Amino acid sequence: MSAEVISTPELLEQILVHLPIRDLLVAAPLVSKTWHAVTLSPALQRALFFEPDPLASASTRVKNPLLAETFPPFFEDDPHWSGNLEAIESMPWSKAPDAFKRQEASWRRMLVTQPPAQTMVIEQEVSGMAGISERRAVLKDLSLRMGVLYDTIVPFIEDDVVCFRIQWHNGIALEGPGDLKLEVGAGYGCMDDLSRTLGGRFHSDGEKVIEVPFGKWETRMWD
Amino acid sequence: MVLLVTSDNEQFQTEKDIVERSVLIKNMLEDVGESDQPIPLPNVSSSVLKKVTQPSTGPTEIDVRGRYLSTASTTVESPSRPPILEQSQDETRKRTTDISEWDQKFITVDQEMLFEIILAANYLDIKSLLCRRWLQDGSQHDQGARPPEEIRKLFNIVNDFTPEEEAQIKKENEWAEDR
Repeated sequence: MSAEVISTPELLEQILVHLPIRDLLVAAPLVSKTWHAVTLSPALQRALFFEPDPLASASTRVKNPLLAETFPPFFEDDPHWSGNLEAIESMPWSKAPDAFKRQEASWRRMLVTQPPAQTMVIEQEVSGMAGISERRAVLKDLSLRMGVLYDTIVPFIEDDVVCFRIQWHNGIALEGPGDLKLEVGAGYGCMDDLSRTLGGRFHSDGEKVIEVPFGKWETRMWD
Repeated sequence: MVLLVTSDNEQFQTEKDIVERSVLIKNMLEDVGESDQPIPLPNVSSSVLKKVTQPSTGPTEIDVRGRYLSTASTTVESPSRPPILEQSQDETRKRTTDISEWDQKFITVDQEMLFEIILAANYLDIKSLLCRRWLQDGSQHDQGARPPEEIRKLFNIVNDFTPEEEAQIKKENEWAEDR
């Protein structure tokens, strides 16, 4: 009877599905080929946020807990504009840049939520001495994975002035269409130090250029 | 009381609320209704059933603890239950320590028994907490997972990866390692 359970993939799967996501991702696949194969089962791929969960309900969308812990500025559902250069630089990424940067790093493939977010509204706002300009875009059919979210946001963070926030649609908080709304803002003054930029350390080698179909800039001049 | 009969034909009188922690037995009881007929458990031996159902030694206890703790239900008065159940909800820290000590003791059962218990827990459908606690490190850091090497040792698993394969998998998920 002995190794029966552990060497029976169906039973092993039943056990592993209860592991916290970090352990399921980091420890389980390294035990043996059998264990690795079991982590590729549909149930465990869903638990790992690699595959969409058809049973997950959109009204109780669950954020990927491991990503939320690892990429805090992308998940903080607060009204403040807390996403900025500094917030990105203080992510766990800074402690192991090589592990995060490499192309095959699995965070890029991970779904940001279950069920996956499909529609993202992006609003960009730039204000300066003369007035304020805004433009808007909607990205659809995303099945949003972290790689796409990261590649969408990071190019905006050109300097120390830009900041962003993400609001998640949970049925109440976000009005209008979209599972999430990304707002990017920058208010430039004449005293800004624009020399500080996000270093190459935070560049993902797997980066793909995301075409954001922005509408026209609409500018209002200050009175 | 419910009468259970194990694979080696031993009979166990067990309290209904204890055996009902097993989803399998609960469903059986619902199907059969009130009855004095013994419930046969052809896949579970008496020594394993003792481990699984005896309060304070079996994995059901951990399940019970989990359930009582999570639902903040009323305390159950029973001398056979571990003192953990009599603790108030706010003694979180103590509780964690207790569970860890309990695990440590429990994990000292021999290999064969460990496997049989896992198998029985699966069969009886009371596996969730039990199995999870085995994979995690119950002895030292309550939070962390067992590293792959330790899991292999615990379950007698041979590492059949080539170093290259192992390195490749590690590379993909290294970002998520605890640090």
